Amino acid sequence: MSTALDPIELPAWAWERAEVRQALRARDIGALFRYVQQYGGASQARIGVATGMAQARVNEIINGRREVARLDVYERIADGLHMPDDARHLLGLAAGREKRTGGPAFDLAAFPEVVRVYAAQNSAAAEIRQQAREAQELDVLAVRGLGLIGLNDSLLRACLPREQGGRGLRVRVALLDPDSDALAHRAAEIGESAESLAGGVRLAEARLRELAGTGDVGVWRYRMLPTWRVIRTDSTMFVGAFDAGWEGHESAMYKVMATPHGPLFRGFRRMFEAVIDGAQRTV
Amino acid sequence: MIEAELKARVHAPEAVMRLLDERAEARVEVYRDTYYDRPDGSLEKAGEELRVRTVHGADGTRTVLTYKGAAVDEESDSKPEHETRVEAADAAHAILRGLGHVEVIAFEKRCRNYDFEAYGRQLLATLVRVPELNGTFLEVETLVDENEVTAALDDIRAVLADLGIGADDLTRETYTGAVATQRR
Repeated sequence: MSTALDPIELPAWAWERAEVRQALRARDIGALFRYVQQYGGASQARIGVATGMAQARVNEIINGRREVARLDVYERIADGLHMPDDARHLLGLAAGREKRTGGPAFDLAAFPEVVRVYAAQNSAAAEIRQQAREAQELDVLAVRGLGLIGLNDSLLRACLPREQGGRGLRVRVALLDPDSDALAHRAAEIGESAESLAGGVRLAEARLRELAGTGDVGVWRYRMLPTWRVIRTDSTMFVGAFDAGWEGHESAMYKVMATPHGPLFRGFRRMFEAVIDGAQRTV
Repeated sequence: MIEAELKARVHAPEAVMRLLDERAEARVEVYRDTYYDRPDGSLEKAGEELRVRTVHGADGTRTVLTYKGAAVDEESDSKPEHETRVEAADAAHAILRGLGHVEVIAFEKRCRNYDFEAYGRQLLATLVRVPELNGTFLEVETLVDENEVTAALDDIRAVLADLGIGADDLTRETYTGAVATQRR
């Protein structure tokens, strides 16, 4: 003799029956409960315990005096009746194994941190400039930074304090140390002489030094092998990569926007802090 | 035109997202919204809204300026809406400030937008997360003439029911109000 507390397990064939599948498809929970009584031998009390409802409520549903229309109630019913995945799908629910109720993984899958992808830096240029114009903080992790910030027609030059009348933008730029082994390595990777690459870094540094008096501009020399190329404007970041035979501005770029659980924005931001923490400040 | 709209709390976001994904391809976008008012708060008191919204999406970034008048339907808070695209976000902000408006609140909405047709209407359903608030929300809306609001809201209720969302889940709580409470 089963009690109201015994779990309900319908035989697999019961879920295959046409009339049961029709009830699921129509979300006719009254009919479904009647089949559960018929094929599972379950009382109204047992159905109530299994699905978290009062027996009176189960009775109303079975007798068509009340309808179920809420997804979370369907979820409870599916869980309580140990519904197989295809039955769950007929009812419009996710499979049991994918069943979650929000949380960080759902948030990041539904609302990804990467909001846009660019084929290369030049396709992102207008967007980066627009973000920089509105930002309070601008961080740049580059190799020599001439294309980004070092020359008059560089991507971000027009956004820097001199032209903006020193409106309180904080600029931090990390460039590859011209005297490091990593610079020689990087020069070889892109088929350039170390002397030329180092000269480029020094030029960018000198051009940024010209701005130091007019605004909050800092420049650092780091010595690690360049890996990520990062431009951060407040809570938006543009990320590419350096690799052998591949100049930074040729890399595809991601636009990453900060979210509460997003690891990319947090990780790149922390990495930038770590890079300048271990670097030599020259401006 | 009136924006006939209902908003609900979503208790099973994975399942609702799956049902929406079956209806249309999602446009994933981040909205950065700034709401303005007169210094005496008279817009809010009158139930009006003045907003600059920058939409960051997969195809581009755009900014829209929106004014919403007082609600024409108390139950749903549906409002007359006037919206136009602006070229430069910083200019739009500067114009509103220059005209004496003050920023009331700024926050971010992360959205999955679905455009689809149901019950003979062109609808926009948006699954929303506001990072500062708990839970996931669903907004379903359509633009209609004022005499069509009641019928449109009935159809929106039917769409919500198809998605497993009942009357108990509907909420009139505004994001601006909830975010302001959260920051207090």
